[in-house]
Amino acid sequence: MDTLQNRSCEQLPDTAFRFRQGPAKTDAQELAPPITFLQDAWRRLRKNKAAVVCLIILAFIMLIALLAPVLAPYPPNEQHIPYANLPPRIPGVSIAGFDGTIVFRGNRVDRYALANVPEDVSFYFGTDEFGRDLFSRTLYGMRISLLIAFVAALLDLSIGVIYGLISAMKGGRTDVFMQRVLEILAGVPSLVIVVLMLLVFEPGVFSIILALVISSWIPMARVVRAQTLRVKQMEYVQAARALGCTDAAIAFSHVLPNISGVVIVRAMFSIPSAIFFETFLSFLGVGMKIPNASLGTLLNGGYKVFKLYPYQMFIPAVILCVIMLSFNLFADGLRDAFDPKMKE
Amino acid sequence: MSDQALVEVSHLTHRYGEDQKGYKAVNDISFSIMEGETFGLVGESGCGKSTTGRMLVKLLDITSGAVRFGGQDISRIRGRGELLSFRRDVQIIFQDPYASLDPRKKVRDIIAEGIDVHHMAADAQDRERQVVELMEAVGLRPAHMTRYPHEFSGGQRQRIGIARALATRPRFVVCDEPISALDVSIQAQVVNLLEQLQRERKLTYLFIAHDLSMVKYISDRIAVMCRGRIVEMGDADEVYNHPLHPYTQSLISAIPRPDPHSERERVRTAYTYQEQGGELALREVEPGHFVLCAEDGR
Amino acid sequence: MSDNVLEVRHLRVSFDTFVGKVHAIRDVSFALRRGETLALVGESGSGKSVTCRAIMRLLARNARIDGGEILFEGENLLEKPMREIRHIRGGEIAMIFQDPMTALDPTMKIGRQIAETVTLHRRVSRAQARARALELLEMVGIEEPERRYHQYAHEFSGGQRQRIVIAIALAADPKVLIADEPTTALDVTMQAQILDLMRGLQKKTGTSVIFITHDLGVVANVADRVAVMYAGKIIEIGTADEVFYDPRHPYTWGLLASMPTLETGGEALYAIPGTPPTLIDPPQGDAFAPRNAWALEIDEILEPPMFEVTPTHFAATWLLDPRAPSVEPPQAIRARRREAGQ
Repeated sequence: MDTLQNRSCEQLPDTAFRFRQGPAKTDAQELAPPITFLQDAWRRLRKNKAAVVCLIILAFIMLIALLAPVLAPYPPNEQHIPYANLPPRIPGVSIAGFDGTIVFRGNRVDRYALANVPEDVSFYFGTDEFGRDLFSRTLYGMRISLLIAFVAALLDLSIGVIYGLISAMKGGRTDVFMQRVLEILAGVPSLVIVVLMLLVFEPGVFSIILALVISSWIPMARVVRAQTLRVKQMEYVQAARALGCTDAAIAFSHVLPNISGVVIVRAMFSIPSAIFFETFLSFLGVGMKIPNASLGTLLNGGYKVFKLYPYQMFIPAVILCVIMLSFNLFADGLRDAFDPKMKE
Repeated sequence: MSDQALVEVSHLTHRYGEDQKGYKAVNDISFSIMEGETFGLVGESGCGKSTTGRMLVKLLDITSGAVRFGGQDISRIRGRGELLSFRRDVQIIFQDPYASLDPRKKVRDIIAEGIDVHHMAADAQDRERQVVELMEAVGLRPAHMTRYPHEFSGGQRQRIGIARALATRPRFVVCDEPISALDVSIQAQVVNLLEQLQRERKLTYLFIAHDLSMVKYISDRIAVMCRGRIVEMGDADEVYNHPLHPYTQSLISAIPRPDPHSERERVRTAYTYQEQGGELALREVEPGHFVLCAEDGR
Repeated sequence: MSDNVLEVRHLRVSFDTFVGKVHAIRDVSFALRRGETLALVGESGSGKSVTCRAIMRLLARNARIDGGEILFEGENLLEKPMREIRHIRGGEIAMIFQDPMTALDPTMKIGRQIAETVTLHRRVSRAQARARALELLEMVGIEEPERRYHQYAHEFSGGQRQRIVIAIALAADPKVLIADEPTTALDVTMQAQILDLMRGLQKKTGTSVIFITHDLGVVANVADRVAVMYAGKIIEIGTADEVFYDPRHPYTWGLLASMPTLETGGEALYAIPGTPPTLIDPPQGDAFAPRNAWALEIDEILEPPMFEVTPTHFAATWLLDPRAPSVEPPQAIRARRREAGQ
């Protein structure tokens, strides 16, 4: 089995068979260039095409929502009854549905001409029954959705993480008590709470956020508790304890960094459900205060006239889907990036 | 090795579960460890050897009995100051070189954790100097201090764990199966390192393992544990060459030796546990050689 | 019919990872003779498990077989379609893994698990399969097989579970049994029992066994022949006596010398310095050279071929070349030679 190689080594000089000069290079291997946890996760995330696309979409949506006051061509609540229920018209676009025409009794008619709208006035997403510009209202509605998303993530990261961390680190009776409290809170239906709150407060962002405060962070608290219990068992936490670290020091310097991946992913997943919660409440009429726009109130208005003016419901519905799908897929990608083992 | 006992364990018991019915992981064991010696604790999984080690370093509560370290009962330690001074003196090295290092921390910060907790460094420069010294002492390159644990091999990780334990300049170190997760060629390196550090730093070891030949090699005295009790204890060579308890005999007969001739001919002694009547106690059969047996001998 | 039931020729396997291509198996060749036990010894990452997973075609998805042949009864397994491989796997070639708990289905009675394997590979009635399962349980030393037949995996101890896994592996009368660290998760006394069992069974059934382990003590117990692996290559292969009493490769010397025997004491243990190489960029020359106290200059230039020591004993080290200086192995190895000479 060695003939081929033997032939070439016949020609080797005898001097090659001297003992190696100098000491053995016992640690000859250089370590690979250092790579931090975040760099590693980012590298994996970049490989996930869907997640990257979603990240770009989310960044774009956030940007235009932030810039809504600048981008919106009209004040979102300004009514102009003569221009009610105009279909979308985008200057220079002549695709049916976006050229200001609708099919009425078999004939395609130009609604803008009928309503005597000047040639240079266009409503990109059309107008609603009060003649409000739906494009502006959609932009403001997205602002509300993203505000809710931000609040939900903030609550998750503050109340949820701290609650779960304390519960798991204290353990024993404290843990049992805190878990029972959690179960009671989780058992209260949030829809009922919001309806009850209408008795005291005006409907609006405030009551939605209050409802989120009560229950949205509960899944996060449970995840954090489970993860903390896992990390607490690890030998490096035992080692830290043996070195004399206090519970608080262990929680902040060992537990939190090691569960951060799971926490971020969990927060990302809770965002779409919070957005949906707001939309749902507003759709039912117990969420945003009229006349303020949110994706939910837009859907509500659109659904009443869906048969006549489908675009009024269709456009906010598509945008809601895109936002929720993007958050979900991005969170999915993040989870795989932080914890590749979960996938395989 | 001196005649002074550094660690005295008397009637130590650990019970899992709250009530009296709980399972006794460690059941009424007593031994003492002399200053500067290596005391080996051997047994199969679930025999209570690791539980014992964790109680000695105060990572687990003592159900009953007492552990005295340097004369002080460790369950009577009150207040953070007293606890910290105990923590400085007593350290532990873990089995799993992967689970025992925080994956999110740089090697420098892992090793310096004890220095930070005990405020042993005057300033950042002093802290760095101590870390460099520790890394050199355990055979790591100080240049690697900014790396993360996952970049190192199992043996190197175990060295990091050893450096972390040595940072507080302890007197007593519990080595909880420090080599069983390592490759054969690395085990010898780590054992040699532990022995060298013991000489240089005058350490006392409790060496916990299931690998009898390695324990016998590194230990001065050993205790064999079975089902939460010490069944035999004595000088390492004595216990190996003249095992008296049937469990020790079966354990020694089961060690596979890298020697085909003796392996082909060997006969194994089986040991089946049976509840024995009578008051079982560790009795001194020969000077320094104790066996768990009833009053009448067996 | 040839003497060799299984033959691996010039096998090369690599893995694609983020950090680069890992050359896990670099030209491995060996033959398994009928009825023998061949031990593959090596440390983690030496490629012993990958070799066997390649034989079973059980490699991870990022693995690539870069070359070589695996001949089972003269036919190249690497060229067979998966359909046929599935039939061979578990039937002609069976495998035992390290962790018996993951190999058993926790929701199925163990008797049914064995019987199912029997019916999968043999045309038998249900009653015959059941009878065969009971026979197998008895054979692997499970007491009261009739009662145990109806129990679940969690009702057995670790050692008994491994016995059941062995029973399942033997269900279809395999020609080759691959045991991947079957006793590593067990306690020493349990390990001794399982090793005794496997030796007894092999004598009875005549199955050829590839036994993968890192424990030289276990090797001495079970093996007829030993192949020592390092960094994806076989560096020494021979009969158990040759490898244990007259090892030629410095790595084998190091492995044997670093184990304390019951007689060792006092002096420091012999330790191989350094750590095994990562196989992302296999080093030029001999992969063991950086850790080799007897390294020659040529070791850093050219990989040594397999030198023949005896017709059954080969080692890949330049020290065996006639031009190389003669060297003294460590004390522990010389003691072994003397012992064997007596």
